[in-house]
Amino acid sequence: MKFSLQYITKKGRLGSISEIERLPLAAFDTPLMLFTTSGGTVPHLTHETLEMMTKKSLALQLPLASNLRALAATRESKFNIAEFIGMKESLTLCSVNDPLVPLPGGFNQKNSVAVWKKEGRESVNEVAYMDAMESLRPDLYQTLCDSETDAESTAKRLQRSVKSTAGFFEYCLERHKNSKVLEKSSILASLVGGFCSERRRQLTKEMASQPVDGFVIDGFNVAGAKGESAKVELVRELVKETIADLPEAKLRVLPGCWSPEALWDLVQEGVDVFDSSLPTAVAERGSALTFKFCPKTKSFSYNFEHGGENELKSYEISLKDKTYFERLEPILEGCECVACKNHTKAYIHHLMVTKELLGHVLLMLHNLHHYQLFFDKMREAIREDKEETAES
Amino acid sequence: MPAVLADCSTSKARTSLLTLPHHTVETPVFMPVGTQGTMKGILPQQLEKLNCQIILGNTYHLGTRPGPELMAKVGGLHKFMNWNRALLTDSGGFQMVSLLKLAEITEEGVNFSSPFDGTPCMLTPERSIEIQNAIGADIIMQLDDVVKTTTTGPRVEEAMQRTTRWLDRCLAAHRRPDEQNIFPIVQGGLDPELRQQSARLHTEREVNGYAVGGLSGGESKDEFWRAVHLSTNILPKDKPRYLMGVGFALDLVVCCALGIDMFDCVFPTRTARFGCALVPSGQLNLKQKAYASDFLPIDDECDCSTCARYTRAFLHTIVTMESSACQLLTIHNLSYQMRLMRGIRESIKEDKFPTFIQEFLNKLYPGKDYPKWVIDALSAVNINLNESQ
Repeated sequence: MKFSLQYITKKGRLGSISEIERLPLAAFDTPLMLFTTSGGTVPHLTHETLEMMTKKSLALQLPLASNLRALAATRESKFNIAEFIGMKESLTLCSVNDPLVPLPGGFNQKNSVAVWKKEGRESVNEVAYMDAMESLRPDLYQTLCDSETDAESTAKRLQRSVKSTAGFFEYCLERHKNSKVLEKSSILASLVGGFCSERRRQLTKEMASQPVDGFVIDGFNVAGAKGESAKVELVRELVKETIADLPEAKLRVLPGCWSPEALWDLVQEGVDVFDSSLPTAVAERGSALTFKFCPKTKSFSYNFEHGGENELKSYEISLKDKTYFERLEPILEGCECVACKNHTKAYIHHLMVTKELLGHVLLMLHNLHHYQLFFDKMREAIREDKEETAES
Repeated sequence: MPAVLADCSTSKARTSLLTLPHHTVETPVFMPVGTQGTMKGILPQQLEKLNCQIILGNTYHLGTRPGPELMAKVGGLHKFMNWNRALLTDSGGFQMVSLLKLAEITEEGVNFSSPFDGTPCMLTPERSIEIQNAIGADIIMQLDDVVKTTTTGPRVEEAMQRTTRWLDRCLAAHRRPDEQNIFPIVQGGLDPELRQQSARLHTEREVNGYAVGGLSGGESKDEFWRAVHLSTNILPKDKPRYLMGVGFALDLVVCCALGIDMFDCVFPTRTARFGCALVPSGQLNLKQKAYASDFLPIDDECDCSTCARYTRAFLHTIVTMESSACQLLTIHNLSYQMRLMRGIRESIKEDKFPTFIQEFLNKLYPGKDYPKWVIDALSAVNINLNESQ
């Protein structure tokens, strides 16, 4: 994998991930949105419906919990995870945590990490983790880490998580270096430390000079609703500090269910890769994204037409709301997605009320399309910024 | 009036073109059921790609949610769900009787308590047609007095006679005869006399097709095929015959030989949700551990988008766990049904339907242990199978 920077400003940078061994012709522009998956599928969608949404190559985020089901089959067969899940043209990045599933906390042990599968909890240690990576052979993966830390963690917990993570890193890197099957895969160092500046600094300084392809800024435990309501000012500060200590040329990944405004803040701190957990979470609760981002003014505008019983964020409308019963216009005027070009709010509302699967399919098609456009616009906003600090 | 393309020179099978307001449908046809105005997570574009030509909607469900007023406002179910090919709606009667505990049938209509607020409601022939007029399907069903096939005694005849009286009320109430075709439903339980009478009474009315009702549960297979055979002998040859609620592959093939043109069933879409895929040899339950290392597609002769990309081993990891699994299996199962029907139609055109049936049964019963009812039914229409004895 090659990560090349194309444009750097004080408030965000543009780059490109290319030369993936398996996908020599593909290039992924950063800031990049990974498609969050479950069990190797983008929730509610298939290759066929994804192709209706975009003809571009996809980059997939594959959380460990649902990858475990694929281990037996990938180990035995010649298939790597991309091939096994029927998405061989897509880039695969294996993550430790699932940005949609908050970690309950209290289950990590000294030498292993609790992984929450749908079928129940499994304990994964560094050996099992690297065994898994060697079976799955993803294009990129992060080192095993203890992410059970958040704003309320005790000092002891923080220390433990950083110590474990550093230990896991050593083992993972060693095995990666010696592994024939992972020769074509890129390894990313996991950085943790909860909301503690000191702990993060300590670990980041250790990792910054390591021979890895990039860094995953983990350990905020901002999955699902926790992410959407996270205090982004705190996170932003910590991310800023972390990035200040990282080499400029390497990839920075920040998973989490950030709100659109928080995500834009984090883009401006210099993060390169995010995931699609927010549009997915919004679709899961029966809502559609309707916010707008203007690349020129770099500001957000919202569609304040909601109101009603459901607790909503400013960036969405809830199709479950009775107010949409007779509304014959699409979710968002001017939106070119499959849902907006072919269906009305009234129909989607009907699908929500009758609990029909197609409702979530249409909301995912809209939300992912909308979020991809948001990323296009953020990249445009960066490009427009004349305050560049360097240009490659 | 359908245009008959070919008749099977051995059995009663035939293949025709049925021209409906929204689409011309090739028969024999299988109609997938999209109960609430949607087909289990599948987009209309995907259904078209699978060559679905006509699908079903349920009047009881749609009449409740979103209701006929919104349907009328939007311009009908076609516009509401953005499906541009043909639609058929049932009358709502069957659902009511099977879904609701306190449905009582009177001469006026079906009496029931609303499942939402318990208020007494009545579904009359007139009201059923009114809702179906609002939904706007190409083919609409009369409200019939349907009894379980296991019912015997005077109730069966009462239901048969009432069905005809309700047919007349439906025809009288129908406000869109140029855009929607009412099909009567032949009843009479398993009594050949009553069935004959029902069919004869219906043929005296001005309609463009007939449904054979009351035959999809409870009765023995032997009684089943005889009732179908009897019905198609009486019903006019120049109009389509629709056998309601029938959809297992074996039943489809045999009933085509017996002269049926249209079928509907929830089976292929319902079984997909439980992780079952339809194949020529029967069904694969992909939840079974046996598929964990099976890297073949569901069916290597299938050209659907699921089989193009996904292996049994992968599907095994997601069935009943991920929502997408339902879509993937539904696409495959619908593709299977569509290909089966196309195979039936093509073989009738080439006058090779008996050969098609033999090959189909070879795959389903490699040991040649065909069920007796299948042997009897086919031999009644001059098809004799290669049996092992």
